[in-house]
Amino acid sequence: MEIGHKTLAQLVEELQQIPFFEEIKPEQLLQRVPLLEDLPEKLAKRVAEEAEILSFSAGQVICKQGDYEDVFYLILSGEVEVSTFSQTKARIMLGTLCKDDFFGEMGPLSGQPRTATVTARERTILLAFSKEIFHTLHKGDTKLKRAIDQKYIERSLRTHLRQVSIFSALPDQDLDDLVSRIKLRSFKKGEVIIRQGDEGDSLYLVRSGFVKVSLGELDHEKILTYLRDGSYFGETALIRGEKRNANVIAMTPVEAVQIFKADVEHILAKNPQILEEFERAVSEHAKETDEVLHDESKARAISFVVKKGLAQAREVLVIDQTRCLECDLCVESCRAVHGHSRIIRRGSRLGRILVPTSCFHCENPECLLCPFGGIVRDKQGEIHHTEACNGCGGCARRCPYGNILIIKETDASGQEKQRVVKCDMCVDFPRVACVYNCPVAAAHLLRPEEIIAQHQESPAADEQ
Amino acid sequence: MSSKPKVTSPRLGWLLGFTWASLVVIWIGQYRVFYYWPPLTGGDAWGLGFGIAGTILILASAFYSVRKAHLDWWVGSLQTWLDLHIYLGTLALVLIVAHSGYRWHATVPNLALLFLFLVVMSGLVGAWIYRAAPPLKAERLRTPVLPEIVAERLSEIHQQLSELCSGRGAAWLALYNDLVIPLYHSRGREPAEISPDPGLDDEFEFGEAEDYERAVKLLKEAKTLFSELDLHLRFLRRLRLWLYVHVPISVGLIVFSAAHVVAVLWYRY
Repeated sequence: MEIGHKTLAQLVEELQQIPFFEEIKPEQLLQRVPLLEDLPEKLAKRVAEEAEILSFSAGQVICKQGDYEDVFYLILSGEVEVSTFSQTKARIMLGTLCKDDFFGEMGPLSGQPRTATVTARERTILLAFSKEIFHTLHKGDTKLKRAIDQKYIERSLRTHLRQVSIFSALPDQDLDDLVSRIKLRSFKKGEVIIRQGDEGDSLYLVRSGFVKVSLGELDHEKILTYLRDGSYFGETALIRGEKRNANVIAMTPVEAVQIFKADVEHILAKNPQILEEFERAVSEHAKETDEVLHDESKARAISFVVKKGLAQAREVLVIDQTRCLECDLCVESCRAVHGHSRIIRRGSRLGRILVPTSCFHCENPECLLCPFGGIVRDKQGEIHHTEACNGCGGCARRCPYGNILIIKETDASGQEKQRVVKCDMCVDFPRVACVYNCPVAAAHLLRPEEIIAQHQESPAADEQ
Repeated sequence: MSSKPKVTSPRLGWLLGFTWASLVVIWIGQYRVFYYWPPLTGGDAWGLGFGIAGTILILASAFYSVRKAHLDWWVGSLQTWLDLHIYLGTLALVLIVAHSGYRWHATVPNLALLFLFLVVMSGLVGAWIYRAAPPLKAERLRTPVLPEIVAERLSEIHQQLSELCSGRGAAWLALYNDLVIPLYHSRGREPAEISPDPGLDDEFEFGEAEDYERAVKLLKEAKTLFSELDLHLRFLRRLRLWLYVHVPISVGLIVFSAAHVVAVLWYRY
């Protein structure tokens, strides 16, 4: 019998054709998995019907670091190895997992891309849960939920600490010691994490989400920079024994690791080489701050990127106004390809760059909270609507930037129907149509940091 | 980041520029060699070769217009095709002049060559306009003007101003007659400036000052919108005007080139 992309129920059905196995039930098999033994009957039935059995041969990659994927895996047999790449691109082995272990919980829990690569070491059979079943399982008080929560904290902290440059050289023993002392904290959008002038009692590592660093009163702040996952802040006050020199505010829901002053001092006493790294980071941050304070165009660009929500964009469609011929071919090509244009050639402008109304493909998208699975993110991180979309417009209302459009269409029966459209980076086509059809390369895709760099090069006009 | 390849072809321009320059060198050399010894004509092997190559380049260059009309064709980005349109077009002129053998005694081929020359020259002017006009427009326009949206907003403003001014006495009627009508009638040119105080305050009744301020604000917005629309339309007109020159000449080129090819085939075979 061949395994591969079949549900447990389908496999058992095939098995039941063989005499002696007629009586076997999928739920019985699930009970043999320790983490699933206490599942309520209804839930066990759903798992059997929807969770897929996957088979991987030795050396085959099961999931890859950086991919946006939200499948959760439980190992039924075999062994896998988990590895990650540090900020310096060095491969770091994180360990091995075997029968009854699980992995992939960080994807559906945090919505972040995979933080590690998992490769089969021998023939491995996995039970794969989609995001929807995973969340159903995670709602109840089951053995699996408790195990997932505990492992999530342990693994995410360990993986995260290893990826941060200042801790990448920390010996395993010290790292384990640190993991047991630190605290994983969550902050709501707009919450102040650090206030300028407060005592510096801890260091923070951003695990997911975005924060902005600013000076002055919160209602008249001067934005210095924004930080994302993998960054850290609060080190200056700790190292120099000064008060906090800036505010740090959550721009999106943020998960951060808090390391207390005593623990940092303990690590530095044991590992003096890390102090150098800290000193370097402090002077680098001071230099960056100084640059923003003295370079008005950079300050304006950073402020624009933060205030318009572009900081959390992966890639943004921009139109260079000094090249644009107003031919509207970008809009026309979007219409030609999708039947309805998803771009409105109006929006905010920074110097020569216009950011039209078009999806930002955020790192932490609020639109993805769709109960019907009508909007999803693919492995490359591009967000698009699926066939399950019923046009309710919930995603459009949740988008803080108004970049999802609700249109009215008449179907074949003459009935008027509401449909939700947004830029999906032409996911079903070989190229991004608007960019591909701009004859003068005025329409192009830029990452937020590229917007800042381009504006610094030629600050043509003020933000509008 | 998008997994799709980025659309940039900076090397293509250099490559074609280099080819173009090389051909000019060959052209000059060829003029020295073939004009004096042995004499070249469009009908001998070399001349025919240049002619066929030039015609192929003209057709390839013209594909830009076809590609522009089919935005869902994935056969090269429009930027690449525009680059090819410019470089292949100029290259074609070099080859066709070489094809002529520097002899100008037949009317139809001479006209075809003249039109090719005019197409290339007008094209180069167009390339310059495409490069020079957008930065000037970007300096003066804060955001792109979408005529439908502007027209809709202007109509909304007019509706609001009409409601504000109607049935409220002489001062409001004067405001409507002296400011609103000229503004909309002249498409924003009159009055030259919307004064924040047109000297009518005293005539307003108690509590009307706020409405008056609102009306002035709306008038100013309408004037700005008219001025932006005007800038936008002038920009588009300039680009269109150039097309009105370039496209008919291109049609002339196609007609005379086709006539030349047909005549050659007819009389030769």
